[in-house]
Amino acid sequence: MDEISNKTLAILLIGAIVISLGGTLISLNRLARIRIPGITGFAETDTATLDVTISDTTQVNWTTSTIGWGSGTVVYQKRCELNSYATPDAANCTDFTPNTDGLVLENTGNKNVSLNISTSKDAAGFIGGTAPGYQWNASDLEPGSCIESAGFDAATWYSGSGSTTYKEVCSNFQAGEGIDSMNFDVRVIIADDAVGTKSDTITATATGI
Amino acid sequence: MSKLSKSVFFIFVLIFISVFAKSVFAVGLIASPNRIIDFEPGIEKTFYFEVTSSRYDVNVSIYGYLSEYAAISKKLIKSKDTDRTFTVTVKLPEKEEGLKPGHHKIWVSAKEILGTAESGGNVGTSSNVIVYILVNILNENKYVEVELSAPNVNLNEPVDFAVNVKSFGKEDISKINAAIDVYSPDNEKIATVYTEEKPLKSNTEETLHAQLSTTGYPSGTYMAIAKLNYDGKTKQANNTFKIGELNIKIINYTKEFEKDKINKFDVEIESDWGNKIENVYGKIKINNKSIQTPNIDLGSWEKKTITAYWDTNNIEIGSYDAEMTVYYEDKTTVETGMVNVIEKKEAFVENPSVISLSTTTILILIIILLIIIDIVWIIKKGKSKEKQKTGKK
Repeated sequence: MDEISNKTLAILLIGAIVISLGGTLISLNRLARIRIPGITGFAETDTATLDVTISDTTQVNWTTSTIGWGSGTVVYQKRCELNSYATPDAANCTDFTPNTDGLVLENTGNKNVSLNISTSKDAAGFIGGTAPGYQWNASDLEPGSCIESAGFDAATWYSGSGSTTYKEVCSNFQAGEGIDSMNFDVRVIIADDAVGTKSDTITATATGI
Repeated sequence: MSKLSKSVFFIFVLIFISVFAKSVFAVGLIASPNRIIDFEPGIEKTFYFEVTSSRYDVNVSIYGYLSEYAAISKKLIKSKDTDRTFTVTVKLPEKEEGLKPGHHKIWVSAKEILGTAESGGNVGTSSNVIVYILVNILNENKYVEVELSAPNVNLNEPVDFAVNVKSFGKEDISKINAAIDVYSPDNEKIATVYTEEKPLKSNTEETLHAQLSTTGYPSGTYMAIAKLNYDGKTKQANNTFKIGELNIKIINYTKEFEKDKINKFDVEIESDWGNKIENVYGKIKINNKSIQTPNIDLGSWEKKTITAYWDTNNIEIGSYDAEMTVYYEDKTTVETGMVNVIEKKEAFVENPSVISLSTTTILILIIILLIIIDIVWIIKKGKSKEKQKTGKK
């Protein structure tokens, strides 16, 4: 029988290291979840006092924070709709980059908050040209994340209205794991006479409740 | 370090950075949890805050009633600042005259200043955070705030009402008690229950209790109105509660399906029962076929969506009758409705999912690192052997 080469031995060795490291990690991970009562001869009546103050963290984080359609053109005498959930209609829009994911806002703090949304510009300020459109809507990404404010409806599209006004979206945007994220879709309508680089900022204001 | 080793190291660093780096598109405020002041003449308290890391510079400010009695230590925190803490010191006046009684909020705001960095894309984002310091100023006389708690129950189980009364006046109250009127789902008064009587000192709170027997009451949503008496004055609070029965309602279902596709058929259901219902599933009869959802557990009064899949290949565009049956315990809920098969929409582009840092990811990275080291080592070893052989020759 041929002798095992150094190369084969090295590969076998590395394989063994990987398996043992992986196994150790998995075991440690699992052990961390197990609570084993300690066996001790120490007096059971002894007591200790632990003081801990957990700070409030009020924070919302845009985990998907931009929508970019790149550059493109609007077909002559047509109106092009760009949105965050579907491919632009090729009959009206040319060369724009499709976006099929909206913005995602997560309550990354440990406090429930109320949530307002505003845009820096309105449709005319953002897109310009003839009869432009600029709208957004908001809905739960994780069901139960947002207790809707009176006057807000997740099925409704709201117009970007400039920084002076905001829309109350959630009376309670929750901080609990699995119920703390929302999806925001955006759509704009561009006429064939609108030109230039266009950008706007959507601002989420979270107020501790 | 050889060229190969350098590249391997560089690749590894890149992999690590891409996995560990998490973008922050947020501003947050960390604050001590008890930000409350009960008015005392001349009282002074300092509250500590910290602005979390952010892309933009952040303006911090205070506003609202009584903010004139507060001072903020900083007004601007730059995105690159390492010291991101600031304080708000509230010093209330020596005299209470001129201050309105009530719960007043001094708002503390952290706002990203747009324009100090690009928000990116055509539509970018920013965020602001507002928290508050609560200042309580007691009323001159006897004053209370009342809340009624009325828990949901199942059929024939008693309802334990709790009336929480907070004194928010400077005078003690010698006795408080409440009568709770209960109204049926048809809005008819059906019972009155009474709580015990207690004294209530200034700026303290007490809870009064009463129990309602619901034997013979049908399921539904009931209204309870508590009338609190406190030293001859009255105040009301109300709340609703449910008496539940083992029933699941079908609230909504998918009504539109695309042709030539495997479509999700969602059925939204809601439990009318105050306990968990296990092994709930649905069957949908549609176009002479039956499709079934997986089993789920439904918590008390919980709403959930159960999903089956309907293959619309070779099914014509048009309207179809759907019979949805939900199975639970030994019961069923049936609803029939109309659904539409429509033309297939344009396919959306699937974006790659975001990598999250889990144990598995770390493990994969370690394995990648070991493999890279292994390759480098083998190549080096091979080269040195060749050199040795060449040298010997």
